[in-house]
Amino acid sequence: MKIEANKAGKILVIRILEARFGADAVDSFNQQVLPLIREGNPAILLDLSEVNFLDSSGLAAMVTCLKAQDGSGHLAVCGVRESVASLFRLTRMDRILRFFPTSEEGVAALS
Amino acid sequence: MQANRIHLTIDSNLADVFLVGLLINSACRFLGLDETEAYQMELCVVEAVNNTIRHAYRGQAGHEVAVSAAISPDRLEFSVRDRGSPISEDDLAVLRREASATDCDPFALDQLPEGGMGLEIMREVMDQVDYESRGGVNCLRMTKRIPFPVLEA
Repeated sequence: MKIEANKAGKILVIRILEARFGADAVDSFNQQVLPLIREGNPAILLDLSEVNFLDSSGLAAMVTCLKAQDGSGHLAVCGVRESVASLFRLTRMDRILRFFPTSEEGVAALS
Repeated sequence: MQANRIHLTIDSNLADVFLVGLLINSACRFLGLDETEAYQMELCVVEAVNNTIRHAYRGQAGHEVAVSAAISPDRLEFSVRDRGSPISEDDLAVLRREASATDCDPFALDQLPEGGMGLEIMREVMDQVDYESRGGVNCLRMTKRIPFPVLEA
């Protein structure tokens, strides 16, 4: 899975550069993102604006990130299209993550 | 009622599942479903196939996963068949709405689910989800009642 990670102040913005974030991409995602969390990036904004398919395995990878932060950080999501947003509601994950329309708005709110 | 049918077979390899998803989504969009409805149909089929590969075949490639879609004027029916291990009693309880992975305290980090959400998604999106294991063949069947004006003409 291709991702792009950029610092915006204290926020680490991780952009998924793939249209699909499914079960086959989870290992690659975890291998790239978990070290970034362990390096000491407590505030992460995950940009899903390129993603038009997300499944429960991709969602579970976000939960893994949350747990890796061990309650001491933030994980927020931005750029979620309406179809994909329905998955967050179906699984009640919309109660757990913060959502922003764009990465700019997410960075501004989290900074 | 007459149904149009398609049968697909893929290897039990997670890297191939997107092909099934793309076909289901394209067919749903052609039939007039909006982006979210088509995504949710694709999602349910992909979750069912992922579960089959991970659990029935324990993540091993080289086994057959058969997917069927039947399109009638008033419903969509999907089935996913395999010859692996049947789903567990715990998973059957999820399908019967007797258990839930997502019914957790959102502030209790250790309770957040890192798996087991697929069956709940199918249960929530579809009108009916049935599972049967007979003669060494497991079959998960999902039905969504939805009118297709394009087929009624």
